[in-house]
Amino acid sequence: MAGELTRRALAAGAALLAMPRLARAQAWPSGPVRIVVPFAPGGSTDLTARLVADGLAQRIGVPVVVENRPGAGATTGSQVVADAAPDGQTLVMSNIASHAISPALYGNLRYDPVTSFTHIAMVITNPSVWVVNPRSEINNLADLVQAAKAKPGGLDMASSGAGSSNHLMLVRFSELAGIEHTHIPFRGAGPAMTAVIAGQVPMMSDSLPSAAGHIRQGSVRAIAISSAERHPAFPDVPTFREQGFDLSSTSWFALSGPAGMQPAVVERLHREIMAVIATPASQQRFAELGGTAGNMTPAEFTAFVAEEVARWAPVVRASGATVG
Amino acid sequence: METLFANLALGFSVAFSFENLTFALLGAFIGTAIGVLPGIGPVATISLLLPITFGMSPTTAIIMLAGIYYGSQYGGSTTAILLNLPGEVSSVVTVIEGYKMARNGRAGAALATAALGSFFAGSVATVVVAASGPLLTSVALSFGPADYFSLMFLGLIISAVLAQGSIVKGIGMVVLGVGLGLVGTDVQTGQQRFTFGVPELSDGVGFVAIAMGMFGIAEIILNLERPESRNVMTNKVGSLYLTREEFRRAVPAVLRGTALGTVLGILPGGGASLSAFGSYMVERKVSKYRHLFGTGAIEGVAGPEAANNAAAQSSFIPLLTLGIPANAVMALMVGALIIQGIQPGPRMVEAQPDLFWGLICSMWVGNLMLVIINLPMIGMWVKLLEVPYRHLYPAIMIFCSIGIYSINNNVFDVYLMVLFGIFGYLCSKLKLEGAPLLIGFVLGPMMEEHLRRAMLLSRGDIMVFIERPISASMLAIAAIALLAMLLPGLRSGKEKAMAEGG
Amino acid sequence: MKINAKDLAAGLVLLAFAVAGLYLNLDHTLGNARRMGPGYMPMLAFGLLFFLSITIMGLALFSGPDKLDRWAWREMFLILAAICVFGLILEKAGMLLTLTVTIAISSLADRTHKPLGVLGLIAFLVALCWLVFIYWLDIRIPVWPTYFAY
Repeated sequence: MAGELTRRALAAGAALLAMPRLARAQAWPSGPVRIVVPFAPGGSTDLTARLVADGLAQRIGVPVVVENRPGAGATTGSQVVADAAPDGQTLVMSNIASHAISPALYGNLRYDPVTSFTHIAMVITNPSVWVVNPRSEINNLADLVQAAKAKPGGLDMASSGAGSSNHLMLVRFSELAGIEHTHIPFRGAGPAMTAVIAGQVPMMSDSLPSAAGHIRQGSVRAIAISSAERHPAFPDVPTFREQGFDLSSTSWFALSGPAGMQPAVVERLHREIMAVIATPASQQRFAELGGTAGNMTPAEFTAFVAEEVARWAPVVRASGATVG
Repeated sequence: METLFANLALGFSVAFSFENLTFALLGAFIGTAIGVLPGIGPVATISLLLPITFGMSPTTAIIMLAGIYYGSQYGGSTTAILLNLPGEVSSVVTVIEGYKMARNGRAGAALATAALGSFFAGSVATVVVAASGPLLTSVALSFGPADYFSLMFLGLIISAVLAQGSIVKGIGMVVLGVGLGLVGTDVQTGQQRFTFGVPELSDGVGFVAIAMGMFGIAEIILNLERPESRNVMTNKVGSLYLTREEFRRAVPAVLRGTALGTVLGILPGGGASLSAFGSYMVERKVSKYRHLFGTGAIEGVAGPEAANNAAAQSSFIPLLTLGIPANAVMALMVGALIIQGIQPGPRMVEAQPDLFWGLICSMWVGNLMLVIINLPMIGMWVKLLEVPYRHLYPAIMIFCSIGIYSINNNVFDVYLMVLFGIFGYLCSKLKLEGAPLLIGFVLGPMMEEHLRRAMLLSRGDIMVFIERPISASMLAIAAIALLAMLLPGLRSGKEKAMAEGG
Repeated sequence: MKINAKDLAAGLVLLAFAVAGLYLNLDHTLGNARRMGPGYMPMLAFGLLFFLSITIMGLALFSGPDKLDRWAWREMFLILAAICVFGLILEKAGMLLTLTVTIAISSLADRTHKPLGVLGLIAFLVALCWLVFIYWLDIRIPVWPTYFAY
């Protein structure tokens, strides 16, 4: 009897404790929202996340904190969120590395980029831009192909790292153009850009935000941009398509949560994030970064992630980059 | 010259506005505080504070962030000197003589030397940046991969001199450090090396985990096992400030360190980290008091601290003139500027002269703030040493643990620190030095990267290292340094063996 | 005896690292001088370490005598155990509880500690850490045991 009573008391106590949990889960947000950034502080993902967090906090009235969980090609932080409770309090800054390339690169990944997450909103997309030293004689992709064919072993082409989306673009382009290239990987875009400016490497593939300033001030020359259409800020730079190469690719940063989030919370988050990135201040900052604010419904975004995964897997295989 | 003064006048008028002074002070204060806390570095703090700066004017924002950067550099030296806790590459060198000085009861003098030496170096480097920044940019651009490789190689060779005892053991630790640095993802191919399938290791072993384990945690165990020696420290807190003799010895070291740091800081990637122990090596070779090295020589604090600060200053040159960040902190500054709608680069001088010159002058103001904040605080810091050790060590331990956890928010780093704590204890029992290992750890991966890149670009032609004049001269210096170090070492070893044999 | 036991042991430690490194490096492609594989630099580094460690051991035969030191096993174990416990329970138990346990374990390493003093130390340090890390720096670290937090 006494045992029964204790058990009942325990059950009641547990229910009491559990109750606020349920109630709060319904009334999102139930406390500070954390956005996991799977990169180290200071990169463009981190900057974007902090811009969004700042605006989101003002709109939803709870603190939004950015937490950096870098490592393993952005998969460490993504894994943390895939494992978190789907209560809308933990989100990840999903991106082309963590949710499109790394799944092909890392054989032992525990999450599925599509089904382990609830994809909420696209935040910003950045095209890649190919730049050459201004003193170089390469003015367009045709010159580039010619230069590559003239040099034994192919032209030296730099990127911000092996397995980065910019490296994979070089691989894809060489396939399309039927040329060889010697990939010169760097540790990040900054050192690669230095090498191009100093003339040690003839060209590099870089994301527009990190190259924009250098293009504007003339320390490098842009020969092609990877977006489908020309970029409003750089109307003189032709796309790959215009130059006869069927290549278009953008790197993207978005917000996703763990799989199984409540549709109402997803809808609310999507609405708030769209509102945050629609403010003139955000638009201006995105423009300065060279990116385009995202505009996809959660369903469209989920389909987009699936497409990206399918699209990059063969390129990763062709690049020869592998991990564990 | 006149335009330089006009420019500096403009800069100071910007830097001395009430708002900018306030934020420079605030930045320096925050920076000092986070620098003192082990593990919590400027990169994390600056990114935390970044959203706050969105609402400021760009000049004020960058001035505050720069203040944090200098402050953290200085704060890092404080814990290095007082508690044997190096938070960064530069303070690894400060630990060697600085902590010995603290144990001799000269903690106050070591801290004052660090503050004043840094201030002097900062002032000189500020003038250099203002006068010849754009010119010096070409230096940074003239360094190719082969030249960087040779510079790093020279750095590794001279780092063996950091070892207090046997040169061969020192070189062994350097090479082991290089090996440790290779753990993680290979930059060129993306392949995992020596990670045992542990995802946390795929970005390499953390520098802070090694530094805190081998220095901080191992030192706690060493102090606990010899209760008699740790009380020596608390009983011997001598005069707080420099004696005339110490001052006289520190001045030339500061001058040499400043010159070395200013030059090396210009090179993006690795230049600044080389400067501190490059200076240590120079002092150990040229100082009149070189026989005192290893027992708490003030030159070993003054030179590297000055070099480190001068390099922190001149590392702004590639940022301001090329828009290329020299390290992670600088990358954050670029981010902060871009968000404000400013693109750092050659056009910045013309487009935003008040920002450009204001920033340069605020570097000096920031250094001044550091002296103002820190000189009076030396007394307080030294008082910390009077806390009985049984109360101090749990505090050091938990600050290290929280600090290391907060870097990646991952307990794996805590265990890694424990592992290196054991290894550090083992090393001190076997008279193996930690400092050369850390230098090898930092420089090794960079060296590999530049070596492989140089060979890729030259299509496998090794002559590239001799054909390039910069690279060739670095290698020549390295060869001379190696001979100079090994010959007396072998000779004395032989003499010792013979003396004992006979 | 002229054998330097410390140097001999140091050489052995370095040799162990060199051999382990060279063995693990068998998995990595060496490549050639033009296109160095992931195994090229480790081969150079650990190969050099191998020869250095042999040299150290060779020199150790003549440069002594220097006996091995005793180890403070108890202190080492307690300090490292305290930090390991910190890592084990931090994310579940929260910072305040974790610090209490960690400091209590570490205090055993110094025999001059008295129970009351340890309690005072715990109270002081927990308050200090809360002030510095939570209130002021606001770092991402769980403060309370997770069960009660939400």
